[in-house]
Amino acid sequence: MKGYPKDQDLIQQTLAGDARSFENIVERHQHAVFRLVYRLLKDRQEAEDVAQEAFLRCYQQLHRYDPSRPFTPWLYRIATNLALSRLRRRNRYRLVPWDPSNESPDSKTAGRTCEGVLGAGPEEAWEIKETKQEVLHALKSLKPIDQTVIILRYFEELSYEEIAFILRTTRNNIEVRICRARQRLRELMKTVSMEGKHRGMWEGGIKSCSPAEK
Amino acid sequence: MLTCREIADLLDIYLDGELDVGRCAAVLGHLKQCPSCSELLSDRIRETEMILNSFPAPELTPGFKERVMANVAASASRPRFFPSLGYLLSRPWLAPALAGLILLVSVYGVYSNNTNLLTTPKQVVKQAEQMKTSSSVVHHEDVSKIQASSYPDAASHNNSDAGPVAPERLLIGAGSKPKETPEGSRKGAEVSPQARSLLHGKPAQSNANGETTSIRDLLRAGYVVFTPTYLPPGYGQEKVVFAADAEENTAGNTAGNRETVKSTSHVQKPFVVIYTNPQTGSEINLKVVPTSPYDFNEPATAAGFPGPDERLPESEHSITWYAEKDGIHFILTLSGSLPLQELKKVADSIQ
Repeated sequence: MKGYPKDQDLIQQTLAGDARSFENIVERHQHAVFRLVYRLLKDRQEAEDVAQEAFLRCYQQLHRYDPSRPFTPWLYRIATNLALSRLRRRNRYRLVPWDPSNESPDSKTAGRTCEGVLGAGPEEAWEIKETKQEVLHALKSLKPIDQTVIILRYFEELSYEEIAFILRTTRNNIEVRICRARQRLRELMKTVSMEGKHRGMWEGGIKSCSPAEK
Repeated sequence: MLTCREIADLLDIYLDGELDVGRCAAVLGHLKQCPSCSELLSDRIRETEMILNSFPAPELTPGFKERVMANVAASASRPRFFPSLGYLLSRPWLAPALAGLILLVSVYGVYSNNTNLLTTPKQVVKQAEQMKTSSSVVHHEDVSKIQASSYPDAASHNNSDAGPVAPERLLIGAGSKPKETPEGSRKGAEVSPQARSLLHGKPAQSNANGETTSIRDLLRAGYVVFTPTYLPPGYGQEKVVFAADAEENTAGNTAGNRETVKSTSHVQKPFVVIYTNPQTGSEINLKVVPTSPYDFNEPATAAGFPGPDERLPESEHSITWYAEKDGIHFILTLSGSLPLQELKKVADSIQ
């Protein structure tokens, strides 16, 4: 395919000094990298900054890339690491609901709530509150690492093996982690649905606040 | 046959396409026969669609690629083929690797024969011996040169390494007189067996001729001399005998030669002053051997003292001692067929 060179060919040309080839790489992957980083950071400007930094790191560390492996997971690994590092720097902040009176559901309350909901059956639960906003809130309430595996699996459609490569762990570990993240997400969605049923939908989303503001 | 609960656990993995062939076939077989699990599968598919639709991402702002390329151009002209220093320093294996390298170099330095590092006592002793030997060799070479320049006539006699020199050659011959030898007193006098004994270190051979001079001539030539203020009654006639060259004129053993060679810096050759009793014909001999300051680590014979093989006749006595005069060090040997007490008195009176 002369008109659509492989990533590996572009990389070799870049290493040979052809900057135009790296421009093609950026053009080919920029949207995917930005979406991945944006979903992890939930901030557009910050996501663009991190995506730019990811491509810069990619260019600087191109000599370390193993051409026998797919390029996309390697690029995603750089971007994910940068995004998670950015999230860790936000460590003194934590995600809480806009209304301070609404505690973020932890696993215990979620479990208790789920026990009550489980009897109703999944069909009923999804029929009660089947909105995108609820899912989004539930997704944002996950731990960063759970959010990461869900995003990599659902939005980037990466295999367990690729996710394991990005997060530097084993495939089996990823399988277990994705399973647990899904379970937690479902519990959260059910909890949000129940609370929305009684208290109304969450509005205003979530914001970052310092611990002093809790 | 899988249960419905087991199917519920496997459905996500089945939808992810991560089930192996065997379990995938089992799930498909169960779904065909179980309406509730098929319904659950439909819920999971809708759940996935909801998740995918719940989190849309905005589009990139225009010019993103150009900004990336500007950053790339600003950071470096081209990608590095080799890791950066910062990358290397951040590697966890770097510190152990460096430690191992330093240890390897240290061990090599300690146990390598090609280095000058000495760690074990054996090595230190061995090297010290080597240094001593090489120093001695150099010293001898240097002294040999000095001797050759100081005594051109003696250059042809630099064969002392061939072993003990024949006694005849140790005596002054007509053709081997050194330049420093005082002139005007070549009498060709016969040297007594006692004097030859002192010079050779053992009883002299008979009828060996030596060159004689006087104390006055020695003083005129700048020699440092030792004169006894006491001599036993009857002794008075004195004559001086000295060797042909600095290398062959001493006690006749190589050890003595070595010390004599060291003393050639002050160009004074060993000599023997003979005091004779004309009535009895007996002699008192005073051998004066310039030497270097006494080294207590060396054998006494090496410093010019008579060795065990330098035995005098039973009737003779000998006293040897170390003396310094005018900054020059000497080994003095006084011998003669005298009672020892008399010989001591003579030795004590020497100035």
